[in-house]
Amino acid sequence: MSEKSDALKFAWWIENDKVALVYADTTNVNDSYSSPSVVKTVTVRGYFNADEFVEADTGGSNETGMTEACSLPEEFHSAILSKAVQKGYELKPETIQSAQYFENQYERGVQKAKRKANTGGLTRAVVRLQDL
Amino acid sequence: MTQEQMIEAVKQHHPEAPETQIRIWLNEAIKEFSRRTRVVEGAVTFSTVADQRYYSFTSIDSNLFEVEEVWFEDWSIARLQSRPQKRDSV
Repeated sequence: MSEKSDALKFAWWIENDKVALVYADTTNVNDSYSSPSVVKTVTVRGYFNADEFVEADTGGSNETGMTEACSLPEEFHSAILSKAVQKGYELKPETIQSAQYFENQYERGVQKAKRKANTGGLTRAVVRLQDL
Repeated sequence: MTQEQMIEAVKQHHPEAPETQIRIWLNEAIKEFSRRTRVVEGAVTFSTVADQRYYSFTSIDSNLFEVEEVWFEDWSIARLQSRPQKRDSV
C-alpha cells in the first residue's frame, strides 16, 4: 500500500482541547476506528498565543525575556501597551475615563489585527489536489 | 519593542505599579490579543506514540489554542466533526 493511501486512512477531531487521531477503516459496512499503532510524524497547523513575558532571559521556547522583543508583529505592540495601561487605570475610580480611552486604543489595534489575519499571507489559501 | 521597553512604557502611566504586576498585565493583554485576532498562525510537528489517541494542545505546543488542519506524514487528513458514532475500543 502506498504511503499516501496509508496516510489518508487516518482522521482527526478535537475533543476537550485535545487532538484525537484514529485509523479509520471504512472499506466495509462495519466501519471501524482504532488508535494508530504506528509511530509517525504529525504536523498541526493552527493558531497560537504569542510568547509569554518572563522575568529572566531563559532562552526557553515560547518565552520572551527582558531584553527580547515581543513576538507579536511590531505594529501591534502599541495595542498591547494600551491594554496593560488600561488595566492599571481601571484600579482607581477617578481614572476610569483614562481606562476607557486606552480600551478604545486597544480595540482599534484588535480590529486592525483581525483585518490583517483575514486578508493576510499565502498560508490562508490552500489548494489541495484530490485523487479522482 | 523589548519586554523591558514595554514595561518602562507602562510605568510612564503607572509609576507606582511593581514590575511583576505590569508583566502580568502585559501577559494578559498578549494572550487576549492573540486569541481574539488569531494573528499568530503557524505549524508544529510532533511524533505520535503507538496506540495513543489523544494529544493535548499543551503537549503539542504550550501556545497552541486552535487547530485548523492536520497532516499525517506529508498528507492532509480528514477532519471528523466529533468522535465517531461507532463505539470503539480506544
